[in-house]
Amino acid sequence: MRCLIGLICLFLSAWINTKVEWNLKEWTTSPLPRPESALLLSAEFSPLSSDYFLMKAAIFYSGMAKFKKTESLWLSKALYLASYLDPYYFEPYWMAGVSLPWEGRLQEAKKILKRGLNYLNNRWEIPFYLGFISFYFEHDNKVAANYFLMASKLPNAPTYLPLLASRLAVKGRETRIAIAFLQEQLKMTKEKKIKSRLKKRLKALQAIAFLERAVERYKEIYGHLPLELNSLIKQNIISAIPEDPYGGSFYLTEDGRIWSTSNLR
Amino acid sequence: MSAISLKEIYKTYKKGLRQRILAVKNLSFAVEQGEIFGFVGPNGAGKSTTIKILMGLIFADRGEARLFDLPCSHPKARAKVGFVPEQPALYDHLTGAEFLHFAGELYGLSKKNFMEQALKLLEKVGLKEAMNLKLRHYSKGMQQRLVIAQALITNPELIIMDEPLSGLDPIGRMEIMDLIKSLKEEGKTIFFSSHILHDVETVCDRVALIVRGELKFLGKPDNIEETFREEIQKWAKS
Amino acid sequence: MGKIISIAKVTFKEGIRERVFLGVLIFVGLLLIGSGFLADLSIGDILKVTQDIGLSGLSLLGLFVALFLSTHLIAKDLDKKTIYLVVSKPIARWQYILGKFLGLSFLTIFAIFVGFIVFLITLFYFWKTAKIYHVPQIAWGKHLLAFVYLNLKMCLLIAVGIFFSSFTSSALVAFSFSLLIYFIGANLQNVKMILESKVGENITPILKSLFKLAYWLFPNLSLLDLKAIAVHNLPLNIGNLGLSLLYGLAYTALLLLFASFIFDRRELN
Repeated sequence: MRCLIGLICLFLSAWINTKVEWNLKEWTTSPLPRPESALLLSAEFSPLSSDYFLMKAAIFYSGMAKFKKTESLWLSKALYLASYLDPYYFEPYWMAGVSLPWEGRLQEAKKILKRGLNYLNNRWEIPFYLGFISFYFEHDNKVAANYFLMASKLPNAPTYLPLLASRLAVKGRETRIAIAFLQEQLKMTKEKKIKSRLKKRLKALQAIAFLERAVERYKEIYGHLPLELNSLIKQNIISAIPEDPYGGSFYLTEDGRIWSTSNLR
Repeated sequence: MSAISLKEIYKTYKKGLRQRILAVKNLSFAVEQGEIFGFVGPNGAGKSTTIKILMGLIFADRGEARLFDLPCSHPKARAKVGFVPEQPALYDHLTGAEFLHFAGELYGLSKKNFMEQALKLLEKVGLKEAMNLKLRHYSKGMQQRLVIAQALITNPELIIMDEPLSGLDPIGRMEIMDLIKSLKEEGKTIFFSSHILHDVETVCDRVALIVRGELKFLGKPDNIEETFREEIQKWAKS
Repeated sequence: MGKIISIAKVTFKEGIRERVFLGVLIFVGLLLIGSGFLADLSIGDILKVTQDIGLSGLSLLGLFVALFLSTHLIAKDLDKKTIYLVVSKPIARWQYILGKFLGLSFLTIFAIFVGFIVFLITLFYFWKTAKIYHVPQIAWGKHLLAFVYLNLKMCLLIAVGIFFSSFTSSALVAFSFSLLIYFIGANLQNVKMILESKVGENITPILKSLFKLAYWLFPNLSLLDLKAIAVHNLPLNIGNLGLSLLYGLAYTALLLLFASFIFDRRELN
């Protein structure tokens, strides 16, 4: 009789467990503790806490299609927390550099990466990400060049870094640098979902690079910028405008650069 | 030199912050070498307290307590003393042999002296078969016998026993009495406490009666019965 | 000296034959073996997480034996009066304290050693079978150093446990206070860092002075925690390591001194 009751209880609880809706979004964006509190509570086990919050951030990042402002803020806080709890751990800095700037969280990314400079003085990626942010997003070539130079002196730095530092003045090279950067990141990632995000961005940037080259050629031939991208097709420079993997449409900005209505997000 | 010497011993227990219980008051007597000395009194009279003071487990507030003329607080005072406490409390996970070995080491016995002695003692108390059994599997009687064995491991000159006869069946009591007598024949001094007058009357050379911490009688057991009855009645009335 | 070793041996035997001890050892063993699988589940540098889980498991094991088992065994000794047959022999009270300390230390070192071997084997296995972009070098020597300092840390905590046991008779009280000291000690360095950062600017000066006092008084356990150095292969500062070693030994000795002073005067009723 007791066995029967026991079995009923077991199946009941298992059934309820499957029925309860597990909201990934809720779990991953649950409130984060203050870094100082988390550190004091974890005491000597803070590296484990760091692993935990990094995992949460990574699952969140690979699970969501589009980020709202609050969500990208959560992501930056989670990554800051992970890097605070184990400042010698490289992964949080890597993830911050790869994800946050593209979601508009430049200041948060810089905060995390600058802290990383103090602790990991043998990882070229950290000053490189800072340089890339200054260069690609903030258009501050001077600061970027300094960072790239710093990065080039560190072990295992890619050999193109010094060249990069010197090419910064040249306009129109930004997209190609971003493409090279993304390709490097793809090599280092093993997470399928993060890889697909990076590939998506790479595809968008390659489309932009393609359009930029077309605009340059137009300028060479006709001496001025085209009025709109369709002119490129009319003049037979390109056969079609490539698709934006983010669902927007590409357009020509006033100063002759290519961007998309999707903002690449 | 007396085996045990107590001079004007006072001991007060503090219960909580205010209550004070006077356990032993102005206790003075001596136990000479080679005698069997009985320490008798009702429960709570201060017998265990006195014995604990002698063994250095607690400390007297005032007065001098000595074993073989060394202060009781000094470890050396206990070098020639074997102690059998009121309730046997042994390390559960050790075997009988291991515990005996441990006791011998604490007395500073070298391994050479020890092995033969230990085996003889185990045989004497009838625990030879159980010597490799863990103490948690010992019956109460077996534990009691092991405690006696560990008290005798160093062939001590003085054996102090706290209520050795309590809780024993008639056969057990007889065995302890015989042991006490045989120890005296070996020239040892035995000091033991009891709350039963008959126990000390039959075997002791001298007896002390303690009631409410005070010494009421000291001398040969032949004369003790009357005093004992008086004091017990006085004590029972209050 | 021989008497101290006898007490140490008996303490060791009593501890190792406690069923709880075996249970915890098995639990931690399973945790260590599972650490690689757990690490695989989580996202991040798998080897780093494996090492984190493994070293944290070792710390937990050490904490259990050093804090819980030590206060438990001494309280048991006092409560069941098994101590009577020890202290009534011709030994001094300080010999009992030292003997207990040595026995508990050997017990702890033994437990952590077993755990460490399991950890090394597990780590080696996952290191060899890892399928990641670039397999990092593991600082085996630094792990050994971290193991040594972990043992020293545990001996200090045992001394804390013995210190509290020397005047209370409740195992729970001694354990709770020892745990509190551990928690404070593990966080001293963290609090210092926080106070010196931006967040710390708003803290009242009274609290800061109180903290300075605490920093002097309580044991700074982070000095003996070499986990970060082992896992991240950080450079060794021999001077600091030497000072930390001295600190650990001195603090332990101080605690044992106090404990024996208190225990000398304790009434065993």
